[in-house]
Amino acid sequence: MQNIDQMTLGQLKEFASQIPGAETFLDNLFCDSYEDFIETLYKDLDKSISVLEDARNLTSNDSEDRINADIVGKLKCMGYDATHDTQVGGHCDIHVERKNYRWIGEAKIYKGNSYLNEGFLQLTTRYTTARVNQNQGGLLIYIRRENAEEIMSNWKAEIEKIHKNDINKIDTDPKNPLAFFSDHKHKTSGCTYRTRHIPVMLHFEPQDRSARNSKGKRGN
Amino acid sequence: MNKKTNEIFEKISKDWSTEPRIISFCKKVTEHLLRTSNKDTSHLTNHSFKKILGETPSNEEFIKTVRYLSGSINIIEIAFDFNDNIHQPIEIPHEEVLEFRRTGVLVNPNTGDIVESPEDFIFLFFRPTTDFLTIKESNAKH
Repeated sequence: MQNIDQMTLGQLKEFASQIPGAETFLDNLFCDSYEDFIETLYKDLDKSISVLEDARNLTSNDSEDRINADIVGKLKCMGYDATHDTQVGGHCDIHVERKNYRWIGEAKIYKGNSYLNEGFLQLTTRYTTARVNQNQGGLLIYIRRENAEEIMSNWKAEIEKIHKNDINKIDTDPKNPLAFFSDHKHKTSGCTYRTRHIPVMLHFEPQDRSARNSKGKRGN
Repeated sequence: MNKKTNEIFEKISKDWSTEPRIISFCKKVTEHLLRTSNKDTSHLTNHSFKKILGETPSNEEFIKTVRYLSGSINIIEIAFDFNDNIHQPIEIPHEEVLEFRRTGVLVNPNTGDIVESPEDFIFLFFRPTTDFLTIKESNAKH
């Protein structure tokens, strides 16, 4: 900690660009709307996912529940009221609250588009209503296969096709070119519900000599 | 210690299971708030934290500790002083700091003048939350 007796807001802002977590700490401190909450949450969620992806050599075979618990744990350490398996019309995977704001995440290990669509339906017809301050959520797609870009493009095309009567808009995600947003008319409230479709890349198949050797040993 | 206090310590240990230093920092701050009079914990600064922890954490550790304790566990809250180095420091309500963040304009509460470089005159301090003080009070009764 720098030799400061009492920190100014200016100093905290300066830290924000240098210290991991300081930027979103500042954002959270001044969170004043649902949109602020979502923007900060997505920065922190992306950070948690990036840590998870960095450790995919250790975690690529973890169960869906284990990965969810890992993400929830990281969000808790960042001060979020985050829980796993919370009851809201069923047991949702990731539930985050702050003040009267709520965000729900449904997670699926990628096993094809129909399985993903089940997740999308769970999120949008079971766990949510698109009530004010609760009208955004996420579909986390745990991808153990290669070529996440292709999987996400196919899913984007598929969801546009399956839900063509309800989906109003598909947006690219400026923070993550593999992710995207969908806006659709929620059946319960008739209001717009915005879903962020978020890939988590867990494919791990190194091709270097060390990997080939250890594969060879396992084969013997 | 009552049940709620035990739950707080258990939660800290569980949430930070992979970072023992943060567990230690969070527990030291919580223990300090429990055993020290409310008057003496109503205005904690970075300097107070160093004294409570008995060491100087890294900037990252400090942010992690403060962010966690002021998050959903709800042990401390963050408040703001305006200090122009001329008058006595004066607390600025959170809403006014929010308004300043929106508009970029801050009025000196002592003089009514618009402040130049306002972020250099807004100081952060920490204090226990009302919820935590309630737990503390119920601890004292048992």
